[in-house]
Amino acid sequence: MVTVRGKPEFWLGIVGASLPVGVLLGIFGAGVFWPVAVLVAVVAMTLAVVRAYQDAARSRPD
Amino acid sequence: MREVADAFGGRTLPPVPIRVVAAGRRPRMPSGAFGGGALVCRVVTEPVPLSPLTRVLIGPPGWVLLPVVGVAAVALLHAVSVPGGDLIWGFFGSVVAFCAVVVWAPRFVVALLRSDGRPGLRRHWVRWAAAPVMGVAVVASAYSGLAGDVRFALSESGLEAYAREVAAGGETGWDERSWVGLYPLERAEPLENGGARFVVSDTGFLNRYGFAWSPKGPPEEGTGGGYEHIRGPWYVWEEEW
Repeated sequence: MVTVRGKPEFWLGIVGASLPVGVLLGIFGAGVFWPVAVLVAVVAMTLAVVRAYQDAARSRPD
Repeated sequence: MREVADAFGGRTLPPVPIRVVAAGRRPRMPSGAFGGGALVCRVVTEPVPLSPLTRVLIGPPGWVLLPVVGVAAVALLHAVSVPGGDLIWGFFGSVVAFCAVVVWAPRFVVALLRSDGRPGLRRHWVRWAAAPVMGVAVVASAYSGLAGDVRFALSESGLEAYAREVAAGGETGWDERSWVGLYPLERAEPLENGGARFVVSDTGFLNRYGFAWSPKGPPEEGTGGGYEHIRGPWYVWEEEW
């Protein structure tokens, strides 16, 4: 299992930045750029969730 | 605790709080011996309280995501259930629903793929299922026309009473927005054949849409737009721009 570096807050920041950009580019019909921005948001959200699970697993008692 | 740290020989301790639950004494050493025996102890790690953000990310959809999905569903249902559609609410609902999918889907997929996430899915399956169920219900009711039919049926008696009043030369208005039944109406006028017609607010893009009530047959085409029969004396009125 890959260890995700960067706290969930960091990855959620990426989501918060890229998702509105993707939506705005989609509204204004910016060709291939809006799917890229949305894809970045989805990947960042996934990494934030994986990192949260890893933090939770690390905090569990042995 | 200091002795426990010593026992790790200067190595880094686990990054979690530890607790000594049973500790023995150092074995007795012969007089004059140098050095010590093994420290007998048992160390257990304490659970660390998770941060609120971590709890949210590994938990089921909660009091933020589900209301957001609900708001998107209501906006989309409103948009598709008025004649001609409501572009503003439809756009708002679509954007909110899209963002909700981007947040919901990775959380669900990661929980599904991880062995420590699946128990949470099973335990809170209702909250996990609520958002996609709402999405499917909205899409199905939009494509089938059920949302518009139900809204019109619930409003029909109120609309008819208002249409009779307008047809009798009573209340008419320009740019006066008022709710009749479940529809926001903003303009009403009598028809030449004894009926009435009114515009539903914020419908369409350039053309405006509304309803016409015409008990004496179809309204005349070309008098300010076209008509499409719904049922009984009711027609959808498309006012051309």
